[in-house]
Parts: sequence; structure tokens; C-alpha cells
Amino acid sequence: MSERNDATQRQIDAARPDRSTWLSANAGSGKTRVLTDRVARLLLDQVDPQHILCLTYTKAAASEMQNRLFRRLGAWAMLADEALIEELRDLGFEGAITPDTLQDARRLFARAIETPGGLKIQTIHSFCASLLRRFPLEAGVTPQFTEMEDRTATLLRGEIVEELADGPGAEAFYELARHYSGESFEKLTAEIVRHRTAFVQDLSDTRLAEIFGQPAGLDTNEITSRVFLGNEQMLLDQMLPALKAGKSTDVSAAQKLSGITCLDFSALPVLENVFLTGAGTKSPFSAKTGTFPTKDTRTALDPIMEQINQWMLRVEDARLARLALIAMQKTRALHGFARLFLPAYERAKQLRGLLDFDDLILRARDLLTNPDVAAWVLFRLDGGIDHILVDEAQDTSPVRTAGTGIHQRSGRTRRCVAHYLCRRR
Amino acid sequence: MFESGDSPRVFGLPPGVDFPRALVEGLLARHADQPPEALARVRLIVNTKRMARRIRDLFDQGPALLLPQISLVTDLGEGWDLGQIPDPVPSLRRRLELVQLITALLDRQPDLAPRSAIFDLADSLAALMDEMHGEGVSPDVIDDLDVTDQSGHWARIKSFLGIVRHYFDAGFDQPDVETRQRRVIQRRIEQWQIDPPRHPIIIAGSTGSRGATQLLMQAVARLPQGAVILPGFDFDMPDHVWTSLENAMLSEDHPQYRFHRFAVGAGIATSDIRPWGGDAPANPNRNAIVSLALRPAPVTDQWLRDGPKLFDIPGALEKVTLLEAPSTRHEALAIAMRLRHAANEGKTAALITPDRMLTRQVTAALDRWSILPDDSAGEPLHLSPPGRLLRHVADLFRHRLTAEALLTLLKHPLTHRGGDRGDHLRLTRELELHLRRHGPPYPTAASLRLWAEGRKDKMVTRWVDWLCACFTDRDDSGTISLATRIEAHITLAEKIAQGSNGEGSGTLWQKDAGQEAQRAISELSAEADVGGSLNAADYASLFHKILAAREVRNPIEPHPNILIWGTLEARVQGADLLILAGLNEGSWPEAPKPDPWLNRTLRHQAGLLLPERRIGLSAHDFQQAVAAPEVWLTRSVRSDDAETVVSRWLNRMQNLLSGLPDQGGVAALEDMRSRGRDWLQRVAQLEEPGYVPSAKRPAPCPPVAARPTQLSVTEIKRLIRDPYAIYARHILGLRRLDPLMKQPDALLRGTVLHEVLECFVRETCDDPARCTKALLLEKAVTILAENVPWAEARALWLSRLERVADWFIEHEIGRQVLATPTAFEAKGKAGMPDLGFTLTAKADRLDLDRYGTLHIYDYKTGQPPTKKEQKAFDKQLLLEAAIAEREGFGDMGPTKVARAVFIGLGSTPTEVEAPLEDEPPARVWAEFHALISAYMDPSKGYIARRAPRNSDDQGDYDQLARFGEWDITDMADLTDMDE
Repeated sequence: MSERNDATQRQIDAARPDRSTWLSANAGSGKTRVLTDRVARLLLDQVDPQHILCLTYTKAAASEMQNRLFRRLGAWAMLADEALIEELRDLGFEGAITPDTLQDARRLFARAIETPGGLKIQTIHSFCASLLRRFPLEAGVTPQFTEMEDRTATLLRGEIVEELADGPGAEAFYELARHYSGESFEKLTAEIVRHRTAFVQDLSDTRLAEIFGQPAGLDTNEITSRVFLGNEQMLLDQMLPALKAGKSTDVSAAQKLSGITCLDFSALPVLENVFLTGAGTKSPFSAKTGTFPTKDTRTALDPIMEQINQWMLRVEDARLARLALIAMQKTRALHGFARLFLPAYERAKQLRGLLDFDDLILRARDLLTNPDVAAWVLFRLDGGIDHILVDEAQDTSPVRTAGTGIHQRSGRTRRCVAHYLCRRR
Repeated sequence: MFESGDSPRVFGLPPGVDFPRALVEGLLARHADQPPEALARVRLIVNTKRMARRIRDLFDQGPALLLPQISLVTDLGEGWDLGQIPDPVPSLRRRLELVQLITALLDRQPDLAPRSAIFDLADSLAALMDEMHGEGVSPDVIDDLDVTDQSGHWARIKSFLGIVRHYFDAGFDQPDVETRQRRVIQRRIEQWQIDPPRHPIIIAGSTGSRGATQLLMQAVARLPQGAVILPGFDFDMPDHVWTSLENAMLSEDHPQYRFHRFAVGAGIATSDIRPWGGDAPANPNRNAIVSLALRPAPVTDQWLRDGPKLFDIPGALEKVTLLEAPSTRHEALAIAMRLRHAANEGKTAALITPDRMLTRQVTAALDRWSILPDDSAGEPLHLSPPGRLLRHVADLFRHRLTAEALLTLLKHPLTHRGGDRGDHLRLTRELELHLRRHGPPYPTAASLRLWAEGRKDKMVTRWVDWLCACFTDRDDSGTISLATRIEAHITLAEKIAQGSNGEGSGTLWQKDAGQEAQRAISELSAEADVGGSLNAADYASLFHKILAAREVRNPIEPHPNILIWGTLEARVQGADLLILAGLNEGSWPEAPKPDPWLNRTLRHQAGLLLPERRIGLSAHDFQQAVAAPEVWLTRSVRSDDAETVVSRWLNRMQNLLSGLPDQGGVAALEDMRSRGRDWLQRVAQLEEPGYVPSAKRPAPCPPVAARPTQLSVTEIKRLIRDPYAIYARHILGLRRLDPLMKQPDALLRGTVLHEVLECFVRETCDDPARCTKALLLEKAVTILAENVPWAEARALWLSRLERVADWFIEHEIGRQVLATPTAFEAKGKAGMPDLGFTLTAKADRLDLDRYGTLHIYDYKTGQPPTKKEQKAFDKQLLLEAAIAEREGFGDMGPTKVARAVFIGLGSTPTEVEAPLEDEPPARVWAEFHALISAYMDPSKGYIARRAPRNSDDQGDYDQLARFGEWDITDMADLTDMDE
């Protein structure tokens, strides 16, 4: 047996099949190797190949891992005793090596590849798809569903938007359109679909205000009443001539302020622009008390300067509420539309027997997280899954959810070991 | 013919023997000393038509004989004495009945499955039922399975099986195809037991993978003069390996498993199976290698022991080539080249693969040498011309008519065949150009008639009547009875095929494909009474499936020696070279289909087939094919951007050979690969495009007489930035073809916005009080509704306008204080008599102030050009000002210009004035005169992409200019076009 260096020893330790592992390592440090080693050791430990599930994110990773494993096991089939013993020891196999062990090792490649049901090395999506095809009744899908391509999804979303905009959803659509400057809703609906779970619950105004940290019932009147107490028109009328007579920054401020036609909600952005510090300053968006207007003008305005400062502070205070109110309006419009759009999208998919990639994951997760369904699924999966190995786990949060689902369900009745690999960034 | 004996008579022929030939020779040898009529008494039952045909061919080669009676396993029920067994119910009818049963079930228990799944569930349930019938498994057996499930899922599955229970009743007089076959076989066996036939009965070529056939084979083997001849029987496999096949759960995927099961069923040992004749396989040593390589998984450790006993590995594999292509395209090309080579040599070559995509690629590649392979699978009916037409017509009922669907149908080769097809094609082209240029994307009867009104063509009225009668307003969303749907569908298809001026149904039902389609439809009509009601989408997909299940033989005479076979046909043999292609996991063997009803254990307990059975059958096909005299094994190493996984059988062979360096295994494998690489090398040579010099940056110099004598102000920017575009458009007369489905694009948005603003300003200029946001938006809503057929675009464009409305109103009030709107869309022009050139313009809006000077306005939907850009490139307003001062717009006469302004209504609305002070009209005109006179010089070229704003700007004529082969740092290639 050759001497192992530290890195190799660490790899071998990580590949120990009897404990759950979360492994994070740099690119190129041999993570996939650890995973294939672990599968090899599981097989050596007489684990039934059909109880092992390896999940990857891309098809390329799945086939690469499969080929790597088959090359290694394939070579064992024809190795003489000594060479094979060395291979097994290098892998970290610590049990006693008997002639039976060696014969088992030589049979492994055929067992692993051809085992009925097979050793499953799959992408998460194809695993979920195969799960749903086997449990269409339980998952509430049609057994011959089509996995939807991006192009089909885009067309379908466009069709639904068109229908909504032309029919009962016109109002909600327009509410959102007025906040949206894109050429079409294509990208927006793609985002809505991607975050579909966020729109499941009806968003009440109270909850909305809570999210943005504002009191319930906040509206434009409420905000304007905080800023405008009644003396502002008088202040403005006195300020403007003084500013116009001042330095160039005062003149430009005067120009902006004279654009205000009415002291109401619409005036706030102009006031903020003039009265508050900019985004790039040390303390951004705070009232320029003591620095605005320029010194001479301040002197000229001395009798009302205190009132102006108070006003500037009120503008500062109201700014966040104003932004929150706008964001709340947009959020409400987004939710109003999404809650029409998403059900229509679901219906359209169901009618055509289509599932998109997220459906695959979400529905598979639902299958595996509902206790009695999960028990049934594992029974029907030819005896269940004892070992899950997930590659590139960092890219695949839904994968982890689904994987963990299986893990927990399996774990309830039997020992299940999980192994997650993730690339360190 | 056979000596009498007690034990069942079972023979085998090893892989690599020409099965039909050996069968015939064995028969002849056994009848050598018999009277001629003895052979005529033999009844030969074979597995496929192709097998029967080949046997017949071999007999036909002489000498003259009284021939045995040859029939197919599936023809058994045609004897007169089996008349009391009712005819089978067509599987289509059964499927339609299942749809009704499932619908009724879901009416009672709506939460069992979504309604949209009904047709799929019926298909899936029908497949399970077929199998239960074939294997003789009754629903009771499945009911009795030991399943501990408290959650109700098993109950769901049982409730589905419950609705088909009556089909399994013994007295049920409408048997399925499979049930009837089983009953026929059972009846035949009963008759044989009462009155055993004295004449020889031989069943040959079947592996007995289905239960009913296996029953028949068992019975025939026991007849006094009966015999079974197994194809591809592995005589190299030692007894202890045969015994290890005992466990079906582990061994179903072994190629020889079915023979083991057959022997057990017949009560004999596999060693009792004798060779049918003395024919040696093509390569006995190769058979031994393959046999060892395919040993069952539980005993593969024997490789190490038995491997060294193999003989002459290099000789065994001398005629085997392993081609590992970088992609399926290369794989297909290499195969095509090899097939062509065989055709040149006059040899027979067959391509075998389950991958129909690959066979299509190979067929396409062979086309370059005008070789049409003889494809035993034919062309699927749904891809034939009538199949496609009928499917397109079925789709008319599903969706609102699109321009795309309309033109697809109008351009179909079977459309309008009743007469005047030429006129039809001409009108179709005219309509297409109109739809591309002007839309609408969703044609209606009204829009089509409007188009027709403007044409003087004699035929157009009748043609449009036909269009409206056939294509518009066909979509329906309700459910209608199947019979009515078929009727409507076929009537419409015939009317479309007939055309606007003819009789009958054109050529729709002619030729093989048309006749086959007609048969498919009459079979469907015959079962329509059980079809219930369905919506247009379900009807279209049902119709698609029915067509897809049928095939049409290619009517063109194919090449006699270049063959494409399904994997099963490897058994028939008879080719000099076999190409086994697509040897990747998932393709050959195919991945087992997921079963929504039962898992493997339950299937095994119930006596149903395991999913690996198909793999075992494929393995057997492989084992026979790989034993042919000369063999190619091909696969692609990558497909769809991912590595592929090599087929398990090939992988086994590679692993075995790699472990036998001392016997030349490693070298033999390397030689196989190197032969494959030689051919990939040839593919690379075939693919080599040769050297084509890059195009130069064009700057054509057409004769002065051909150069434009008139341009509009908006085109001057293009003349400065990309003169080649002016050349292509005005001298070559080329214009970009718009997409088939007109889209809501920037051009339309601009047109509509202009109209809204013109309308609004016209109405408000006399009454400033009406200049309000509300009126502006009201105008916009009306005009959008009239001009924009897309609801989404209407709303988005309205909201854009709404966002800038306040700004626009505020500035509009200012503009109207300054001057009075006087003319809209006013045309103007100014000439250069010395150059014979005229500049034209259409001003969006002209206002006159109280001094009689002009304010020129131009609306922009996006960001207007900066003053700097206007000075150097974007001279639109500067030139409009020059026109106004030189010759004037409309009937105004020359007028002094006060200012010219872009009104930008993009996300940040803004007004940008033309720099009239820096660039007074007189100077602009002088410079413009210099520009045009430069282009009146015959040596001045229209250079491509002379000064694009951004390096990645895209122009309509970049492809024509072959931009990309050159870049803008290249010198222009002045080409004199005078010749």
C-alpha cells in the first residue's frame, strides 16, 4: 500500500460511507472523486446499488460521474488479486480482504450498471421527472407530461399575458404596467414564475405596511400632512427671490423649486433634491441644515431660517415613508397581477400537460415531504433509498430541499446517510 | 421427420448463423431421403413477416420442391376451426372506451387525478391491460398482492383497475387483441391434446418472451412431430451459468434468460437443447468472447478465470470496427460513408439501431450520393404530406387563426389541388407579403376581405371567399362528440385540398400516404360511437397519436443493398456488413419506461413482465447482431453538450478485452478503435470546407445614373453612417422581410404615438382649456384600440404615455403660447437642379408664431439625438429647417425658421433643440450639397458601416455586406459596378 499524503487522507476520510457529510472544497480539489469513491465504498460494503441515489445539477456532471465510476469498477473486474487489494486499500477500505471480497469487487461494475432499477446517478431534474412519472396520481400530474422548454414557457406566458390584458385581468395588468417600463412583460413574468411561492399568500395591506416598517393606513395625505404644516407657501415665496439673488448653487436651487406647482405629494421629490444631501455624501439624504442655502442667503433669510430648517428636517423624516409608500404601491400592483397570472399559468400548463423545471422540483418535494405519501413513494421505489449523494449542492437550493425531503422521510424508518458536496467560493 | 421420443423437442441455432438459411438447409437435409410430399406436410410457424419472406426467397432459389406451409405466430387464429372465438376489438376502440370509463370514474371521485390526464391515463392503463391479457394475469391477482399501505394510494390504483375488471371476465365476448391471441393458442393446444397432429409442426425464430407465445412453443415442442427452433442460442454458455439465471429479479436482463425460462417450462435442461444443423457461426471465437462478456452480473468474477481460455482474440475481432465519434452528426456521417462504400462494392449492408433520429441523419447524409436506403420502418404517417395537412387542419379548431397557421396551410403541397393551383400560389405569395408588411397577426374574415378589395385580380374574390369559408373563425372551445369532430375535420380538410375552384378533394387521398390516411380515418370513424365528447385539443392529440402509429412505405424504389433495420430484424440476417449504431445507455438499451401502477416487486409477484425484459430482449438482439461476419459498433462520445455513457454490452466487451493483454485483447481492442478512427479521419476530410477568402469591406460604386435622385431627410443619417445601406435599399431595391407574425415593434409604436399627438394637438389648439391629461389619454385609448391588435402592447404603450403625460401637457401649454400649431405631417422638398437631386421631408408638426416664423417639431418615442450628433450625423431637423427656408412645406412657401425641436417622450421626457445658431440653414444646405455632389462622382463608393454610432450596432444589410469577415478598421474595397 502506497504512503498517503495529507490531502489524499482527507479525501479518504471524507469518503467514509457510514456518516453524513457536508463537504465544501475548492474547484479542482477532487470533490467529484470523493463522491465516486464514496459510491465505490458503499458498493464494497454490500449496499444494494438501487438504494444509492446520486444527484448532480447538470447532465454533464451526471454522465461524467457515471463514466468515472464505471471506469474504475470496470478495471477491477480483470485485476489480479494483489493489484486489486492495493486498489481497495488505496480507496480506504479497511475491512478484512478475503477472496470473497475480491470476487465481489470484480462483480461490482456489472452489478452497479445493470442492477435492475440501476444505480441512480441523475440530474436533480431528471430524478424529479422520473419520480413524477411513476407517481402521477399522487403528484396530481398527467403521466405523460412534457418537460417544458424555455421557448415554450416564454410563448405560453406571452399568451396568458395577452389574454389577461384583453379580458378580466385588464385592470390588474394596467395597474402593474404603469410601474413597468419594459418593452413587454416577458422578463417580468419569468421572474414572477421563478418566485411563484412568494405569491401564494394573499398580501393584506396591514402585512404590506409591516414589511416596509410603516404604520397601517399610510397614504399620501398622511405623508403630506407630516411635511406641510401650512407656512410652507409663505416660506417658499420668501426664499425664491433670496435664492435667485444668491450664488450659482442657490440660483439652481431656485430654478428647481420654482418648478413646484403645488405643495403636495408631487413636490416632495423636488424638495428632497434641494433640501437633502445626495446619495454619495457622508450622511446621505439628511437635511442640509446649516449648509443650505449658502451663507449670505441664509443671513438674508435669517428671520425665517429656523422655520426653513424645521421644514427641511420634516422633508428628511418623510422621505423613507414616501419611498415605502411607492414601493408598497408597486408591490400591491405586482401581487395583484401575479395572483391572476399564476393561476392562469398553472391552468394553461395543466391543460397542455406541461411542467416547467421548477414544477418538477416543487412537486417532487411535495411528494417527499408529505409523510404518508413519502412512505408510499419509498415503498414503491423498489425498497427506498439509503444513501443520497448530492454534487454542487450550493447551486441547488431546491435540490437540497428535495434531497433533504427524501433524507428525512427515509430516515424515519431506516438509516439514511446523506452526503453533500459544494464548491467553495 | 423426427424420431419419436418422450422429451420435448427443442433445437437452437447459435448467433452468427444465417438463421433462415440454416433453417431451410436443416429441413432439406432431414427430408433428403423422403418422398417430395413429406416436406409439403411440414407446417412452419415463424415470428415475423420478414422472416417468412426470407425463407420463401431461399426456397425460391431452387431446386423445385413441394414447399412447406409457412405462417406467422399471429396468424394462428385464422383457421376456420377457430371461428367460434370472437374477433378482437380494435385497440383504438378499447382505448376510447377506457377514456369514457376514466371520465366516469373521475366524475365520481374528482380528486383521483386531474381531468387533463384522462387521455394519458387511458393510454397507460391500456398498456397495462394488454400486458395482463398477454400474460394471463387477472385483476384478482393484483387485488391479492400483499401491499401494506394505509394511506389510500394502493386503493387509488385498485380503483382504476376496478373499472376494467369486466374486460377480464371469461365470458366477455369482445376480447382484446392479446386476449384473443391467448384464447386462440389455448384452444389450439386443447385440440392438439385431443387429437395430436401427425405432421411436423415447427415453430422457429421466437424467443417466447410473451406468455402466450411461450405457451404455444411449449405445446409444439411436445407434439409427436413438433419442434421448436430457438434463434441466437448461446451454446458457449456453461451449464453452471445457465443455472445461475434462476432468479428472474436478477437475470431478466440477460440475453439468454428467456431460453432458460423456456427450458424450465418445458421440463428440460438447457443441455438438452440441440443444434438444429451443423452450420458453424460466422466467427465461433467471437461468439465465445461475447458470451463470456455478457455473463450475468452475479458471476462476472469468472472473467478472470475464463478469460485466458479464449482462443485467437485478434482473429475473432479482426472484422469488428469500433467507431467512437465525437458527436452523433459525425457518427451518422461515418456510417453513411461506410454504407456508400458497401454500395460501391456491391455488398449488402444493414444499419441497425433503435435510434430513429440517427437513421434519419444517416438517410439525409446518404442523400448527397443519391442513395436511398431501404428503411424497413417506412415513414410515420403523421409526417407524410396528407398526415401533416390533416394535423394542421385539426389545429385550426384549437386556436385563434394566426398568420403563421394560415400560410402554413396555404403553402402545403396538397392545398388547393382541385384546380388553378398556380393562381392560388400567386395569391398566397401576395397575401404573405401583405401580412408580413401590414399584418394583422391574427387574420379575420374582415381583414382578408379588406385586403382583397384593393386588388383587381379576377380570381381574388372567389379565393377570399374560400379563405373565409375554410380558415377564419374555426376555433371552438367546447366539447363536441367525436363523430361530429371527425366529420367537421374531414369535410374541412377536403375543402382545403379542393381549393376555391374545383371539385372533389384534390389529391388528398391519393398515393400510398393518402390511402393510408383514409384508412386511418375510416377506422377512427368506425369507433366514434364510443368516443364521447371531447375538446379540440384532445381531439388533435388523439388524431396525432392514431396517425403516428401508422407508417407509409416510401413509394420510391430504394437501394436494394443498403438497408435500415429495427433491432429485432438482426435475427433475419443475410447482410454482409451489420452496423450496430447508437450504442449508448439510454439509446441501446433504451431506458425502461416508468410504470405509474406497479413496482418491480409487485410486477414479479403478479406474474407480469419486469421492466428489464426489454433490456434482455435488446441484449439478445445485440448478441445476434454482433456475431455477423463483419460488424461495425458505433456510438457518439458526446451528445447535447454532455458525455454519453457507453452501452453496457459494449462496456463489458471493452472491460474484458482490456483485462486480457497477454492474449492480445488490448491490442485487438485498439485495432478495432483504430479502424474506426480511420473512418472518422475520412469524415473530417469530407467535412473540410476548403479555403474561402474573406470578403473585403464593400464600397460599391454603381453608375451615376443608377444612384438615387431623391432621399428623405431621415435617410441622410444613414447615408453618413452606413452608405452601403442606402445602396442596398435604393439601388438594389432590397428591403428586410418582416416576420410572419407581425410583432408590436418600435416602428408601430412611433406611428401610433404620432397619430395620438397629432389628433390631440389638433383638437386642443383652438381651446387651450381642453389641453389636459385626461383628454390625451382618452385619445390614446381610442387610437391604440384601432391600430394595435395586441392588448399587452396597448396597455404598456398607454402606460408609457401616461408617465410622460404631465410633462407633455405642461410643455404643450408653453408651446401653444409661443406659436400656433398650423400643419401636421406636412410634406416639403428642396431641389438641387445642378445635381438633379431632390431632398424630401415630412415634418411632424409646424407651428407659426405671431411674427410669421416657423417652429418645427419632431416627436421621438425614445431619446432624441444630442446637439453634437445633430451637427455631425443626425441632420433631420437641420435639413427640415433648410427646406422650410428654401422652398417651404406644404403650401407655406419659404418661411423663416425660429427653432426646430425634438420632443423626446422616452423614460426621461425632454426637449432638444436643433443647433440652428451654430449651423444656420444656408450652411447646412451648402454642406449637404457637397455631400450629395460627392456621391454623384462615379468613383465615390457606398462604403459599409462607415461610421456606426456603436461598434455593435446592427444594420439590416450587415449580412449582405458580409460584415464579420471584415471589420471597420479594414480599408474599403471600391468596386466599380459599371460593367
